[in-house]
Amino acid sequence: MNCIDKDILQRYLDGEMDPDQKAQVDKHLKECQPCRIQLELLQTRAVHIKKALKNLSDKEVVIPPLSSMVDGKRSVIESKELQHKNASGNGWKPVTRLFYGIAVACAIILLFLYTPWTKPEESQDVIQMQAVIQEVDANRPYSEQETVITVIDPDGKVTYLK
Amino acid sequence: MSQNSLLLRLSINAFNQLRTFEEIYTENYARLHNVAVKMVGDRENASDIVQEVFIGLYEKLSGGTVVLYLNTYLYRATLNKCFDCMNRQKRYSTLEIVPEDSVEDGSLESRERKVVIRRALSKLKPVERAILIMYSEDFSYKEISDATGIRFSSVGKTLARTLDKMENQLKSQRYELY
Repeated sequence: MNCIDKDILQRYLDGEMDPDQKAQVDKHLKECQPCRIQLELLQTRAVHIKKALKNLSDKEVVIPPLSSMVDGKRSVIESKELQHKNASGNGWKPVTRLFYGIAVACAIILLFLYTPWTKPEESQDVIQMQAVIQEVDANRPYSEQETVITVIDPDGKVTYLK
Repeated sequence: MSQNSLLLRLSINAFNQLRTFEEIYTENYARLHNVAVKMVGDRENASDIVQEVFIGLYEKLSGGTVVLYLNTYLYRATLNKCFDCMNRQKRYSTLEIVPEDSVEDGSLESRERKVVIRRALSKLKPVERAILIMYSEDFSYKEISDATGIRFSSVGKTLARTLDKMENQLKSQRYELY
């Protein structure tokens, strides 16, 4: 007979097996020493891992009084109700909301119709076109170099600035 | 009607047993809390999770819903909330999470052992972690299957593999299991 799988042995040691299957495993274990050793190893491992995990929460759990949870819950309910109220338009009735809506729309239209529209004044800025003619001689000092600025008025008058 | 009197009136029709909300709360709180602490790693988050689970149950019951499989509901809800919490922890921290609960009071050796166990647990998939933790709390395969959603016939196999993984993780961190 073939040896038993690890997962079947696991179920066997956890007592999660139907009686027929358990009887078969029992019979095999009587005859097979490697499986008995394997079962023993699995059992030791399970016990130690369980123990190690149990130690993770070795502090005694203090159960908070139910009233504290009920109080917390009440605040949750109240905030939910408040959200619902806000979502439904501050508790105004639909007719009132329609009336206020129409009134605001009319006010905006009236404001738009009676606003005295005037044309924007023409700009008085003088636009000048200018160009800088400059020949740069890299070997001469900057103070000895000459700069000529040409300014052309909107009327077409040309001025040279040195 | 006050909240407390409402709590006393609530009952559950599971296997023809009538129980008040307070009884359910007192009977299950500690065990749920233990599972949640081991799953998420710190007591504060675990307490919040368990409280949310009971608030959820309270709302269901006060809305007239009959919860037939109470334990399944409680553990499944707790595990789902733990998974959400673990996702949040993962999202907000790229570092390996070894929660401060592991380094609370106790001898240095005991603290170090806890840190190693936590680290090994954090290497498992969330479902594997849930299986192992429920196993350590002496839950039956049926209860593990109901709470995690794994098929009953697969619990033994998944558990054996998860125990292998955990053993290897602990060995790789030179934890003396035996």
